[in-house]
Amino acid sequence: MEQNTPVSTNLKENESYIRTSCEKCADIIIRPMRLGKEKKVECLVVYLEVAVNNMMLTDSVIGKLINHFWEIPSDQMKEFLEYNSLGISDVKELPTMEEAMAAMLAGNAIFFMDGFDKAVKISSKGYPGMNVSQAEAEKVLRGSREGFTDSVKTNSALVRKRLRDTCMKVEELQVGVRSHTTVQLLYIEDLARKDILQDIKSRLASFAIDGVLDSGVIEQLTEEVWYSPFPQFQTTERPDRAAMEILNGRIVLLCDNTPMALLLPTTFHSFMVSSEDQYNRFEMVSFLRLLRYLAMLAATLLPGLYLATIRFHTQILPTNLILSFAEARAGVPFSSVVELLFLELSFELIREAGVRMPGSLGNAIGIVGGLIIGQAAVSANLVSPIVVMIVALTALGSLAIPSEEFSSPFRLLKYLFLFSGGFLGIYGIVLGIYLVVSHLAGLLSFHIPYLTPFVHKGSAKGQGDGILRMPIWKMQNRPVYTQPEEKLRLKATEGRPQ
Amino acid sequence: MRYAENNQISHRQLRRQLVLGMISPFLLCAVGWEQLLGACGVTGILFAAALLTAYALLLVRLGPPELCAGKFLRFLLGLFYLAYILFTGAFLLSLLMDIVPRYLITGTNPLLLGVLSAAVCGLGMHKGLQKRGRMAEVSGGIVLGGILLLYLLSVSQGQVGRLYTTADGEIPLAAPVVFKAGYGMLAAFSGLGLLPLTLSRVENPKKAAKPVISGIWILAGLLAAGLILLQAAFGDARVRSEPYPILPLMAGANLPGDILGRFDVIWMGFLLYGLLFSIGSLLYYGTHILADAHLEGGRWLLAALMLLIAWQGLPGAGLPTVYRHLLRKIFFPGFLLATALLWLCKKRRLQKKKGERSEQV
Repeated sequence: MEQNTPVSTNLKENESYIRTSCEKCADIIIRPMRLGKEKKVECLVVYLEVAVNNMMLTDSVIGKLINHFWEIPSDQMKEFLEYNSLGISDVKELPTMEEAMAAMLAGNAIFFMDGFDKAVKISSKGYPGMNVSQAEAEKVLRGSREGFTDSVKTNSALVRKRLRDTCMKVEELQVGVRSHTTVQLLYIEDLARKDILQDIKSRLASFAIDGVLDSGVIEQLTEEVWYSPFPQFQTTERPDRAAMEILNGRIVLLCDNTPMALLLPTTFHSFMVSSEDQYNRFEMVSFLRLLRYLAMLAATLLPGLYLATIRFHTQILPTNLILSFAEARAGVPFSSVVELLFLELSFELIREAGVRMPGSLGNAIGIVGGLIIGQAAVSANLVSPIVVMIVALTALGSLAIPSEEFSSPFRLLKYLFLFSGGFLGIYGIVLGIYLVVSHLAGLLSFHIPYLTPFVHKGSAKGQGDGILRMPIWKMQNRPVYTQPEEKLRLKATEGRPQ
Repeated sequence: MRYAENNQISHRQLRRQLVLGMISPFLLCAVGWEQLLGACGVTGILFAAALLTAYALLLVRLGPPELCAGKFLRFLLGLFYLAYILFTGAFLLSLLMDIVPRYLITGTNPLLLGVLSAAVCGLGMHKGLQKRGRMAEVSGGIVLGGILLLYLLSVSQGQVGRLYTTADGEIPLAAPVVFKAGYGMLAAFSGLGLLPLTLSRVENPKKAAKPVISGIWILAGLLAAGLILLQAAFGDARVRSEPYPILPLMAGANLPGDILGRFDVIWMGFLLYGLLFSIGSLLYYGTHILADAHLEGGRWLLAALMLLIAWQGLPGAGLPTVYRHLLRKIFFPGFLLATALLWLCKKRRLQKKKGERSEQV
């Protein structure tokens, strides 16, 4: 059970508490000092060495405060602190030692004064971290280049920069018994549904874990179906995307030390939508979305369909094609299933190696793996050229899915279809599709069906954001996860040009 | 969409479930039945659809059985429904175990196919009607579109002259044949009797007749169109001799442009998906009935029994023939009787309530 030790008026008691708690913590500086005109009042400043630098202590609010304390009589110090300190924006009084320690560990300086029963938190620059940089995994041709950083405060500020409305609420929670990780929930009060908000809060409160080092842990602890390969939270590293989704009535979850935001609720289709879809013209966006869905099908079904065709249903193909397939396979010692599996796994290996390698070396691995090994495998008669093509198309398909996390389940499902198509032909593929559709139909994300907007009750009229995107002036309504009373997003006026 | 609404299915989902759940067995089996041939078959289908419209209206007005029947009657009805589900599921599984090795993957062990199919259909069968509604909504349109495309591409295979003649001469429009065909169609639609089980989970259940009736007419239209196409493409004699006449029709339908050699495998994929959906739906209803009797754990036993009957068949003429007789002589009359009993119970309940109210007054 959490203790509440009040800050004592006796500074020695406070110091002893701090020294006991921070024993063997070389990174925490405990600096006693005597202030007041007569240098008689005992004070104490506690801070993290890296989070609060000396410059800050001399130049900042606390620096000025301390300088001022050297000039005023000792008997006026307490009164000054009590009445004036709170007039400064980034200073806060803390009544308990636990709160003071937590604030210190969050990167602030804490000031104690003998005879004063509160600790004073003075905000500082916090922990070192990366500055705002370009979003790497969600690159766009049009739209902001900013990406989230590791600091939750910076991230919420990046969203606030885009939504300057006090209706956008930022609720802060702490998770992790030892890590005390800050988690923020961002939403627009009148757009986000209360039941979903309540649900995420109760899920966050439903577990106690020692540490949360990334939002991925929260994601796994709060998802509804643990065995589903499909992600039940969407992530984005783009503040503009997060802001856009907040305007759609979704809730954004930011976690400290994670340069990504979790978006909830999540649907199948939301993963197929790219950030810039909203900025580009509808014709091209619709075409690209269609292409992405085809890419998704190719990434999942192509190897299985190839095997089903060449092993069981050769009649599907025109005779010339069957003959060229047979010719290409001549001399390959393995069965078509083994051949395809071998190449698929090789590709996965190249991909994994490329991801782990730094920058340009990763590209080199891709080229070496893709071109040279592929060519060598064909020359050595280990695989047929058509299989190299199938694997390459499958890989391209999975890379065309805008969200990496969403392409992962299809990378796995590809193997299910590879085996089912390889051993049961088209029936295996049908069985697999039935299984996947059945699973997806049963999946809910915060009580919203995962297959929304393809399954919808009532009218989806005016949303215009399915596989085909309507012209922006026709997208008048918000998606289903918005409060029904706030459905209207865009109101066309009479002066709109035709 | 709110939380509570997730417990219900929409009218569109109800219609698509009905269509997707019945289209494959109908196209595979009903079209080839002797009674459904030529003008008599088409008239019989339309006649049956008209009667089924009235039946659907009655079922919707009746409402869920738990509102009108007592415990004992519900127990009896549950047993009857379970028997229907068991034999229909077994028949559909046996159909699958027959078609797939014969037309798609020769040499495969039918039992293995049956086990896999039952397992895949059985997964998540307890998850509720909403899941099936969403499945139907998302895939029903695609399957239906595929079948319509097949019909469109098959038109070129037909000859108008074959529509009016049989191997024995002209097709007569005789009332007894029409009635026989119509009754065959009504029997095939026996599954409609399970509709009251879904009504408590349909939004605005009192208005659910509309989607059900439109579903019936979509099915009847597709069947009648299929019948005409088959007759025109193959003539009466071949339709009679083929075990599954729709399959050769698929073999002849190709997309223009000679992109692929043959498309029948792809059409068959659509039909098999529909068949799997039908089996899955039956397993869902079985689970629902078992859960009502607090026997939810028996759902896998139900699937296993289906598989056993499909694998071992029934003594005598074999499962397909026996099942057809069961449909005509037991299940369809049984569903009518069940509806009548429920109707009587509802009426009695209403009268009792009315009496109580007048006493209170």
